[in-house]
Parts: sequence; C-alpha cells; structure tokens
Amino acid sequence: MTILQKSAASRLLDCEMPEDYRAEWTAIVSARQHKVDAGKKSVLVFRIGAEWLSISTSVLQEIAELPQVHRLPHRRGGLLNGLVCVRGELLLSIALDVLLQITKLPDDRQAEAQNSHARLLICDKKGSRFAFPVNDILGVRTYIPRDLKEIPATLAKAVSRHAMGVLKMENRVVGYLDDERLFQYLDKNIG
Amino acid sequence: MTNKDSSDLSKCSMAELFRMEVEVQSAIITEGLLALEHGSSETAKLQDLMRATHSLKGAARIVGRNAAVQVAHAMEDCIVAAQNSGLILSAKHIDTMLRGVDLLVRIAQVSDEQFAAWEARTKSEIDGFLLSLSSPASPDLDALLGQVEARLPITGDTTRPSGSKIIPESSSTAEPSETAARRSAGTSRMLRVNSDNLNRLLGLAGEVLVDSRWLSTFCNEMVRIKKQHQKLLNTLELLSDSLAHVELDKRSVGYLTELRSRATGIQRAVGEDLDAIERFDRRLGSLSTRIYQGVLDCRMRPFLDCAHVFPRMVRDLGNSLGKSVKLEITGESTPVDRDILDKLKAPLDHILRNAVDHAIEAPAERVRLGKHEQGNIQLVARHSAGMLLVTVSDDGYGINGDELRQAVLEKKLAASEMISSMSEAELFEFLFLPGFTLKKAVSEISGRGVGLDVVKNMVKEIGGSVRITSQAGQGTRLQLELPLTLSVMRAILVEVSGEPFALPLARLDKAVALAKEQIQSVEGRQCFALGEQYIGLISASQVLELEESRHGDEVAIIVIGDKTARYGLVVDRFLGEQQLVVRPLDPRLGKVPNISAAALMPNGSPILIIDVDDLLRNIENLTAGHRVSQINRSDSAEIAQTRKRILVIDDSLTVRELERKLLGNRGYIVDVAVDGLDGWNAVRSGNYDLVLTDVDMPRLDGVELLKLIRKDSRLKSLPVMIVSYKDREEDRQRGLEAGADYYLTKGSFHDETLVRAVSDMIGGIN
Repeated sequence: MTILQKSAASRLLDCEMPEDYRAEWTAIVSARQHKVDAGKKSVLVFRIGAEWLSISTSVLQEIAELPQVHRLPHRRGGLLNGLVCVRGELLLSIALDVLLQITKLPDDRQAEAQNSHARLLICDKKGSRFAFPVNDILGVRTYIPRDLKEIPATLAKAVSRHAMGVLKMENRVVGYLDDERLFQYLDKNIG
Repeated sequence: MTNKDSSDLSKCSMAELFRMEVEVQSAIITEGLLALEHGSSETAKLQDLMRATHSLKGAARIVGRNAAVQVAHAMEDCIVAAQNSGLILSAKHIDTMLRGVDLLVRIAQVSDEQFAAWEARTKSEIDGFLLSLSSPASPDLDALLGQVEARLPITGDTTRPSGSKIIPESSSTAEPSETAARRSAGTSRMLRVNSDNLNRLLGLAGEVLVDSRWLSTFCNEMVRIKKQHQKLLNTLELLSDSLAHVELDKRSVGYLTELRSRATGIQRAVGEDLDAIERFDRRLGSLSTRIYQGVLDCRMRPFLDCAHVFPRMVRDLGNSLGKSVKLEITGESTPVDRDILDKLKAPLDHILRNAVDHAIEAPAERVRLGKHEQGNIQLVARHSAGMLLVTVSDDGYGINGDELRQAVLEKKLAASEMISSMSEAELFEFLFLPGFTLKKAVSEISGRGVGLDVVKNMVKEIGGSVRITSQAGQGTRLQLELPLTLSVMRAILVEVSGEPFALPLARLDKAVALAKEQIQSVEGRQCFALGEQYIGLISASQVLELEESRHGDEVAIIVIGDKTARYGLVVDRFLGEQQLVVRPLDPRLGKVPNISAAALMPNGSPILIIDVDDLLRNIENLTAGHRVSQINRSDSAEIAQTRKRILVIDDSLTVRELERKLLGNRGYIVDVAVDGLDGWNAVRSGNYDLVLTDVDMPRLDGVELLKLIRKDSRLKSLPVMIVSYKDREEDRQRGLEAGADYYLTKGSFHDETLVRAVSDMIGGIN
C-alpha cells in the first residue's frame, strides 16, 4: 500500500457520516427478509432397500453414524430394532423396512455390517423422537408443492399408507413420507 | 402403595375418608394451580386439575356433602373451560380457585353431626364463591383481562397485575398476600425444570464424563511415544560415543550435533506437551465429574418435601386414639433424590402410624411409668457414608424380647432352643415376616401384621435395608438405610445372547461360575448345590425370550430370590461390576417385561437393567407352569383359598374404601390398588377372582388396563367390572368393547347394585 492509498483510506474512514446514513441502514437491516425461495420446501432423501424415500427436513434433527443397537427382550421382529444411544441419549430405533414392508437388498445387509453408507436419522416431531436407520442418504433436496404427485400403484402398499405422495428427483421416484401420520402411528403402536 | 398396606383405613368413617381424600386432592390442585400461575401452561397440568376436582366432586357426592359438590363442580367447570375453550386462567381465577380449595378443606373438616349447622352458617360464603367463580368464566371482559395479564411479565408474587382489581371482589383482597406468603416460605428459590430436559442434560453430562476418559488413554499413548523417543536418544548417544574414536569430517560432525540437539529439543517439547495434556486431562476430569454431580444434585429435594405431612398426621392420629403425640423432625433440608423421596413416603407413613398406635402408651399409662404425658416420636434424616439414613424413634413401650420370643414360639416359626440362643437383632427380624404381629387385638390403625413386611419390601425395592433396635420400656428405633439416589446404581453386568444386561447388586445374592460337571439334574430340572440348598437353574435367554446361546465349559450363574424361592440365572458370561446411571425407558414403550430401565455402558453403548422382581415372577410362572401357591405363608393365605378375592382399583380413596367396605362386609377378601399401573402389578401377582376398576386414573387408565389384562394369556378370562362416574352410553360402550364384563356407574353405590353385580359374577359368600 502506498502512502497515498493509505491516506486516502484513512480519509475515507475518518470522514463524517452523511446525515441520513445511519437511519438508511437501520431501515435496510431491520426490514423483513424476503424469502427468495417462496413456496420451496426441503426434504432429506434416503434409501431403504430398493425404495427411495424422503422426509421433511423440519422434523430432521441430525444424522449420525449407525450406533450399536440393543434389542429389547420380548419385542423381537417388530417395528422396534431396539435402543440406540446418540449423544448420551437413549432413543428408540425404528425398523422402517418392517413398517413399510420393504425387503432389504442383500448388499445392504453387508454394507450395514461394514457401516459404509448406512446412517441413522434422528427425527423429532413435537417432542416425540425416533431414530431410523437407513441404507443410504442422497442428501437434502428442495421441491415445489405442485411437484408432489400422487402415489403410483407400483409403490409398495405399506409405503403408500405412510406417504403423502411421490417426488421425481434425479430420475428417481421418491416416496414422500407423511411425518404427521408416521409419528402418530409410531407413538400409538410402539408400546 | 400396594394393595395391602392401607387396610388400616378400613374402619375409618366415610367423613374421615373424605377428609383424607380432600387433603390429597387439594394438595394436587394447589400445586397445579400454582404451577399454572408460574407460567406452566401444560395441558397435562389442566388434566390433573380436572381429574382431581372431578374425583372430589364424586367423593363429596358419596358422603352427601352438597356444598363440596357445588364448589368442586364450579372449579371443574372453570378448568374444563380453560381446557376446551382456551379460557386463560388469570391470577384472579387462580386466587379464587385456591380459595375454593380452602373451602373444600374446611367442609371436609366439619364432622357429620355439625355439618347441617355449619352449612347453614356458611351458605352465603359458599354462594359468594360460586358466584365469583362462575362470573369470570362468562364475560368476555375478563377473558380479555386474562390475556392482558398473561402478556405482562410477572416479576414476583407481590406484583399482581392490577387488572385483577377492576372487577370488585369483596373478600379476595386478603388472599393474594396470604398465598404469596405461603409460597415464599421456602428457604431458597425453587425452579421447575422439565424432567425431560434434566434427563437430557444428565445424558450429556454422562457423555462428557465418558468422553473425557479418552484423554487419559491418549496420554498413555504419548508416554509410550516419549519412552520410544528416549530410546532413540539413547541410541544416538551410543552412536556418538562409538564414533568418538573415529576421525569424522566436519560435515558429519555438524550433522551429528544437529541430530542430537534436535532430538533433545523434541524430547523436551513432547515432555512439555504431555505435561500440558495431563494437566488438561485432570482439569477436564474434575470439571466433568463436577458437572455430572451437579446435574445429579438437581434431582435432589429437601427431605421436608416428603415429611411435611407427617406432623399433622401423627397429631391427628394420636388425638383420635386419645393420645397426645408429638413428631419432631430433624434434618428437614437433607437432600434426597426425588425418586427415593416418592418411595419413602408410604413406608414412613406406615412406620409412624405403627408407632402412634402400638408404641406410644395412653397418657395415664405414661404418667404412671414416669414419662412425660405427651409421647414423642423423632424422625431424623441424614447422610452417612454415602447412604441416606432415616430413623424413626419413639419413647413408648419398646419391644419386650420375651414376649417376642413367646410369639415366635407360638407361631412355630422356630424351635425353642433356637429362639433362646438368638441375638436381639436376629429376633427382631421376625417382626418383618408377613402376617407377624405382637398386637393381640387387631386395631383399625395397624396391627394386622401387614405392616413391617410391606415396609421392608418397599425399602428393599429401592436397594435399602431396615433395622430395628429396641429397649423394653424405653422405646423402639427403626432405621432405614437407603441409597442416596436411584439414578446411580451399582450393578453386575452380564451378557445374555450376545447383549449386555445389568442386575442391580443390591438385589442379587451371589454370582458363581461353575464347571459343567457341577450341575446336576433333579426330576428333570437342572440345579446346583449352594451350601446346603439346591438351587434350580434357568437360562436367562429363555426368560427373556432371546435366542439360546452356547455356554462353554464354565457356566456363569447369578443367584437371585429370597429364602422361599431362589433361582440360579444362567448367563453367557460376567462382564464385571459397574456404576450405572439409570435412565428411564421411553414411556411410549409401556412396561417391558423383566426390564426396569436402561443405562449406558462406559463405551457409550446401551445396556438394559433387569427388573429382578418381575423376573422372579416370570421365572416362577415358567417353572411352575401354572403358579403353585406358596403354602406356609400365614393363616390368612389359607382362608384366602376358600374365600373369593377381589381387587379394587380406583384413584379415589373414598371410592376405594367404600368398595372395600361394601364387599368386605359380604365376606370377600378385598385388596386395593391406587391406579392402573399399581393395579396391573397387583393383578399379575395375586390370584384374584374379580377386578373392579375405575376408568379415569393417572399413570394407566382403566381401559388400557383392561386391554393389558385381555392380552395376557393367564389373565384373559379374569372377570373385570368397570365402576365409573361416566354414565353416558358411549362410555359404557367403550368399556365393554375393551373387554369389561360389566359396566357399573358409581351412582349405584347406595343401593345393593354393586354387591349384587359382584355376587352375580363370581358368586356370593355367606
């Protein structure tokens, strides 16, 4: 920086503020932020078996590595995988594949053992928390409500019972889970 | 409370029962109202309030106190309005309703004879109350005021929003200061914290504690590196020594010097880093332990929280027996885990009742013996050696050793030569046996022999012990030794079917590892010899319905149970002993059989804690196929086989005792349970011929209970009768659909309907 530049800089910084300058900026900063993506909603897209599914990011709390599961005695083979511990909290791990009657791919079982792509979704809806192990995560995607299409007959019956519709994303048909109904169902049927 | 321990209530008058119920429910209402006032807007609170006022209304109707019915009804209306139409309860509502609580308490205090006169005297006051409560509910002005008030920050009890003074209210002006005084009486300010938040915090603090331990392993690793580096340095020294005799060129000498100085530099740096990390480790370790301890301490409440009802109870009970008894409490502020505190109340209540009835002599007798006319009971709570000690001592009769020996002999509980050689402590152990009592005449307060055994069981349940010491003529001292907290538990960890399980150390007898050859087979059942006793073996994986696991040459066995029934639980292997932080299971799971709670292992993975009592019950069921009743318990158990047994489940004391009385008079054996969950435990452990249950109950409601009963293979054909205030057709339908055999409304108490219905279902006695 030359001396000339330096003095120009300090002149600029030291100069008096224009009269309305502060008020002008206050107005800008305090103005309501306009949503750029009005109407767009975001979902997390994940895979269970051969089905791609998604859930609203509003219920998603975090994504964790697959932890060790402790099964509950007398409760085998049901909706409940067992207990998992995430950040010092005990959560109920739910077998979405059982709930949605999706057959797991043989590769997935192996992958789960190696813990490669499989992850644990931790979801919270109005204080009701569950953990869902999934085989793969595609990531967060956005959609516009009118893109939500009716469920085609090809989708598994049990999926359609818990889905609001399907979304087309990157050449995939993604079932959009109805979190309201899903959590209600789980709250009622987990005991 | 279990189904046995309140039999001392069975002879109380209805008015007395009503008074007791008002005390309980008014505490709930007061607590709920204050919580609402302090900004808690949970719907659950409203639900509790609704239930409490509703119960009171029903109870008042039974005892025919119309004034109380009206007051309770008006309060219920107000709460229902808050629940359904979003009426915001203002400070004024709360004040008015607190006044209603006081009114109810006063109504309950009046004796039957004087009631008519009292009612006439206070009619105008009651009408005034009804009016003041019904008016705020209707005009919009007040709802509006409520909203305005709700928005005002409430800084303290004294700064009442001025809005409440707009509507003239003749007598309410004195109330706020009174309630404020009552609330600020506590020494330090108490905060209400959501228990979920606290549990979450505890979880995180535990995680920090576990994680902080990783650092010390890391330090050890660094020490190892430092040692290796030291070796490197030593080798370097040796090298330079051996090169000392060799002519080296200047460059090589330079390299060698540089090598040595750099190596020494690294050595120093590693040493300093290691020091720093070790210091950090210590600091972090100490901090995380403190945080953890601090969070645990948040669960503590002063002992007085549980004991504050006792002085009144002792006084009242003493008066009713014509005795003057004073209870002195020491250690009111001793911190006690809130879970322990909850569980302590019932046994202490029991012990104190016993003391007032049995131990303290009549005033004339006391004077004759040279004692002060007024009996004295000391209740002391203190911490000692990591345990909570609660002592109840009285200055009454004391236990006469010879009388006790005689009673033991008469009941043929031990041979006479054995009795005479017993120590005092051993002898006093008999007092804890079921059905054992020294009191000849069974009184209404106690003395049915269902006292101390219940106390002992309750204390045992939370991992504590009871001891009696006594000096004949001087008094008796009962000491309860309890763990400081239920949230931390010492447990033995075992593996079953490849997964870890924990058994509370306090509940198990022994852990043994046996060679396979030492296991014998008797009548097709596997067992092993422990001292002189043969102990039947059962595989843990079978009881827990997990897949069978293979055992090696050595069999790991945990011995559980008491003298009457001991079992050896076979597990895969022992994993060691551990201090565990107990976490409740997700309530949405309902009761998981054989499991009481969960915890985290040191490595952060979940572990399940076994419910030993439940497990023992299930083992009993498994081994006996159908339960064989234990003979040799007490006389009443034998009679029980010929008389029909009924379980009454109701959260209202009045209804419970009324039903017990009505049915007991007809010769049925009646046990009671205080709510659905209590009932569910009782119904599984006792052989009942009929269950009578209410619908609206805390913890587990009647319909849910019915569903559980109908799902259980052993209980599904058990007759169940619903007795409810709800007399709408859809309520009836709902009850019958859930599997009730009969639906009765509580209004039918006054005639013979209840007794007739019972006798129709399971047959009469007489």
